[in-house]
Amino acid sequence: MVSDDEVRATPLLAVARTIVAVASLVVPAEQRDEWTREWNAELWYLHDSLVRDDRLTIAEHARFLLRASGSLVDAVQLSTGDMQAWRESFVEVGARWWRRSPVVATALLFLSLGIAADAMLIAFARALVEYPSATWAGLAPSTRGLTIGVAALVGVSLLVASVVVTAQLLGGVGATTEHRTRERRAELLLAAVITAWVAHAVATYGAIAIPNETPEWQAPPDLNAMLTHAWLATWLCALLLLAVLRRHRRGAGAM
Amino acid sequence: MPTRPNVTYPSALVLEALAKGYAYGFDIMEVTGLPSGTVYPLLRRLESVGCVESRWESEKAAARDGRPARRYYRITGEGEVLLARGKERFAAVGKAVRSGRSRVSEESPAW
Repeated sequence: MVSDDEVRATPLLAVARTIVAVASLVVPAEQRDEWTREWNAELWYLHDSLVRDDRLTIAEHARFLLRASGSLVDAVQLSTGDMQAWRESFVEVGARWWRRSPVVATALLFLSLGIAADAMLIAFARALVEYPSATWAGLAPSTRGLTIGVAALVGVSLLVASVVVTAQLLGGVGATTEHRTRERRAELLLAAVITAWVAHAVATYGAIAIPNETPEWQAPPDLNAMLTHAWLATWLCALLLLAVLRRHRRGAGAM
Repeated sequence: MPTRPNVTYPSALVLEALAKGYAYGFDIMEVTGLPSGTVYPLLRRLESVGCVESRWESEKAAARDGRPARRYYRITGEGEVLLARGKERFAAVGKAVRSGRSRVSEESPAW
């Protein structure tokens, strides 16, 4: 018999609860406590049954965490309201954002475009380094190096420019109430999902389409993994830069 | 007044699971095969239009057993109407969810 304390202490449950806690940041404040309570309770029961039945295999670990990550989707949906509309059309969401705040919508558009383009550039540059024969049929090593250098420079400039523009635009928006902060988080989360989707879609279609045009081209086998890493790295850099710029702005404002 | 939602296949599945006695979010996921990121938003949406209602079980009873209190869901009359429409539209809904009942606590709320 497994005691209740043992069930609570399992790292798997702690990780799942952390996911729920992170997701709860975008849940409207008035619903947050109940929302968190429900998710944590359901995870507790599922985890409890897995432990008691001795079914905690690797596959069940993954399934459990996948269920916990559903809280992120649920939280974003709660935060942004009627999601049926945006599921049907990204354009509608864009229009809603635009109506609510044109400045924030433009800022998010800049950031999303910058990040999506940057992630693709980084992934492409990495593919060139790791699979030179596949991607560079008949190109001299010096030209290859120069191209990688230019791609890296463009990538970094693109990221910095999009973040600076975003910070400028977001800085122009008035006082940050709790409501606005929550909305901003939800929008950033959604922008992250959209950029990931765009980058993956372009890369996948690119990898499928290019071989028809160029017989010597072979898409890197781990192109999607490369793109995911590039996307994660780009987002991390973008958020870091945004935080630095905001701190700098606050510091300047305090003087 | 809330408008009745369009019946989609996932919402019909959720209603069917509730009609067959499954009362918790995670049990509904289990029997419908829908992911958690779909079931909860659907439950909230169905609740907001009056097709589903929910209650929390007594904290006292749960604390006595050393477990957290759980939220129960139940289909309403409005929900039954929507489910009937869903079954007309998606014939597979009835067969997709097996009959059963969640392990509802003896001290579950009186509906």
